[in-house]
Amino acid sequence: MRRLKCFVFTVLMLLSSVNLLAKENLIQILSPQDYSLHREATINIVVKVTPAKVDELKIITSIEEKSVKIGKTATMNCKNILLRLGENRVTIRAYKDGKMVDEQIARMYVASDIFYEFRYPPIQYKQTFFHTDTNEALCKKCHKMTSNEIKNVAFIDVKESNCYVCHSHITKDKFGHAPAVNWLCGACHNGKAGVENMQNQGRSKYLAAQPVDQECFKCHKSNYKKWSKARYRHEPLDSGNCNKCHNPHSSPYSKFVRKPVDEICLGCHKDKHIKARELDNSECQGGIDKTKECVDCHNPHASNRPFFLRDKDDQRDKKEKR
Amino acid sequence: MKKLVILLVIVAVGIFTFQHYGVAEKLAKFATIVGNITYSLSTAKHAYEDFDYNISDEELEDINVTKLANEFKSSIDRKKEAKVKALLEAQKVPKEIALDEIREEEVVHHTKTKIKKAQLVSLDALPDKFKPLKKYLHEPFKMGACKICHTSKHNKPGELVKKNIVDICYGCHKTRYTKKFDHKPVKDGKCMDCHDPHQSNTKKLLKADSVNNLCLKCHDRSSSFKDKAKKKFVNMNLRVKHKPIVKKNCLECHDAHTAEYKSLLHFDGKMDLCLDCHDEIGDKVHDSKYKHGGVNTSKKHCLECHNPHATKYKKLLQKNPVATCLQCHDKQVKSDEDGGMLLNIKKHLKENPNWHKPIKEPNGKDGGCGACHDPHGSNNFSILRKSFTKNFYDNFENKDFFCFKCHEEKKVSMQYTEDGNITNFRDGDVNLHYLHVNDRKGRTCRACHDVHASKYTHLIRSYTDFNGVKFPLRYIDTGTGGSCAPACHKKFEYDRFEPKGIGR
Repeated sequence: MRRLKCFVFTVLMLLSSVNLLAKENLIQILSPQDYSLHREATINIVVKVTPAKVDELKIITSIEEKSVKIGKTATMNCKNILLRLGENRVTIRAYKDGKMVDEQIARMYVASDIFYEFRYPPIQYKQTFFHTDTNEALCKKCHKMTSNEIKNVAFIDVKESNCYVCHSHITKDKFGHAPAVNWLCGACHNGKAGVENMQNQGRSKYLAAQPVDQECFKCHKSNYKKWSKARYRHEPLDSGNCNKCHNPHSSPYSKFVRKPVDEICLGCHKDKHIKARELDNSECQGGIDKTKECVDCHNPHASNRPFFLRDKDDQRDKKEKR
Repeated sequence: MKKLVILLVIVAVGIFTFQHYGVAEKLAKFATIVGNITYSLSTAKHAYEDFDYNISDEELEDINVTKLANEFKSSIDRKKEAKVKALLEAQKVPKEIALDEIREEEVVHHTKTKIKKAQLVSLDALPDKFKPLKKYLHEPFKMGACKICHTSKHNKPGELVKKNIVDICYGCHKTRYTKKFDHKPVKDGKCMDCHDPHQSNTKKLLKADSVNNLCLKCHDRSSSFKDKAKKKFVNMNLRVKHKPIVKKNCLECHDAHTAEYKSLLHFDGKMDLCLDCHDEIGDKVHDSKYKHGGVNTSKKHCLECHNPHATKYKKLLQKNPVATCLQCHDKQVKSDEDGGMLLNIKKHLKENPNWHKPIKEPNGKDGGCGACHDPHGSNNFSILRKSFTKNFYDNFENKDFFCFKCHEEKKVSMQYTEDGNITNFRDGDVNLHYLHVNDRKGRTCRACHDVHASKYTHLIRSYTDFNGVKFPLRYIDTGTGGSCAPACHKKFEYDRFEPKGIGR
């Protein structure tokens, strides 16, 4: 793995040296900015091109390579790309008749609360927001930049939503959360900041408040009743950061968890990894029976018993949604 | 000259407008109305107080009618007592009822009207037009005391003592006219419109063969009577009639002469009079947990929906059982239950062509909104006749839900439909109703069905309400099956004959 990384790095360094040779700035990355910080693995990249001199764009990340054909009048080009956790280097090359004309590089960091390694990004990466007046003015020609949803009424055809056009990728996974799949974005992304993200107040039109739990418990009332009475509560629940483990939009895993359950648990509880999985320590029976998951015995939200152990009447709801 | 021309022009224009726009008629109408008002203000009410009709004491001594009068009075007293007894027995609760509470029939004392014996005319000596004698005779007529009303001048037979006939009637019948509202003929002094002064085959000397017919003489729109009422018509030729009118007569509710309440009623006609007989409904209206604003807080109370005389529709409703409700529910109405706004049902029905059967067939056996809602009030929310749940998730088991009054419970409770007739919502033989309703998170019927009307077949909702958010069901009917893509799950298809494998 390390060898691969080194290889990629050297290749990228070589490519950047090529960049120095190019004289003209034919393409310009408008969004995201260089050294930007993200929390979602998929982002939209916006590139400004002089269409007379460029006929193809190639977007290269460490995961995938995408090419965009450019029309004669398309100065603005958007593309949705996938990033990996941690540091990413996105290279965009412009071609004219098969020849590389220009090259631009943007560095991005995808942070994650689940994994210890990616929890604290390097200091040079700064969180940026796209939906500001200056940015929206650029897109207005092609996209409707206002929200067209009626409050508390979902779209019959979700493709009518103005948000869908650019952000459709966030609901493409198997398990979709109802408000997200029905494109009721305004319920959470109402532009107001919460206690934890006060510093971002007013920086984006569609900011979502952090912590999110107030919005979650509007629908999940019965859970709130159950958990608020419990003797012990898990830290993410208590702090109100439900979206730490759950993806509020969609996820390939049941219950909208961001990763397979054990991975999430062991992301924080690193010591248990060694004890339970590899050394078969008797401290945790799950280590012996490898078919079982952490959540089979522990309640990840709240419990009246120590170590968040489940009660008899609090068994795991294994029935998966089809 | 100029002035003359201008004057002529003004006159011409005036005449033209008068004729062309019917101003003359309107003015005349206005004048009559004003005249009527001024007349009723100045000379209305009973003129009997001013009337001075005294018979000298000598005349009084001659004839003694007190005996007759006392007999008459005592017979009425006995009747009254019997009525009280009957009432007490019917209620079975000992209750003190004052004698005055029961409507007192008029008793005329002939003590004051005494006439010399010599002036009495024997029945045989009456003119021929009164023969043969009818069943009921006016007391003075029976006595032959023509002199009370008529003068004895032979050259003018039949001439009255006083010019106005009212003055003569009120001379003896003084007990009336102490209440707020009067019958128009009484007010106008036209006693003879209803009563015959001499004799009749019906009680109270009426001019018709029954009380109802007498009333309808004026209060029927098609009547040929020349002095018939100008408004307040009653159409009694309709299918459904109020029982008291058919079994007894109009006087069960109305007083023929004068009353404390509007429309000459014994009690307040909007509610109290009705609840006097319909006491079960009275309990519902006043004591139920959820009340219907249409009865309790509206202007006309019972009469908002019912016609007290006769209608085409069952339960004496003014319009058909659905249209009656839509009189008020054609707009968003504020609910008495929780202060929220109720659905605009008329608009809802207009927009959604598929209606629930009671709405579709309002005149059927279980037709009309009343099939599910009790318009007089109920202890269940939305004034439903039987309990239902307000929740989105509710297990249907062991709960006596309202829908199963008409719909078979089998539709929901059987996991597999062995014979296909149970429900059409199945994938092969897997009952998809069972799948939706029976789990820990069993959904109620209303989660998917709109009980009033829908755009889709089988009353499938276009939007389902979950925590105040409206999610579309996106239902598609394919003839042999269909598909749904609500917020609860992704798009699933089912087919009755080629199973798609749901629920296996």
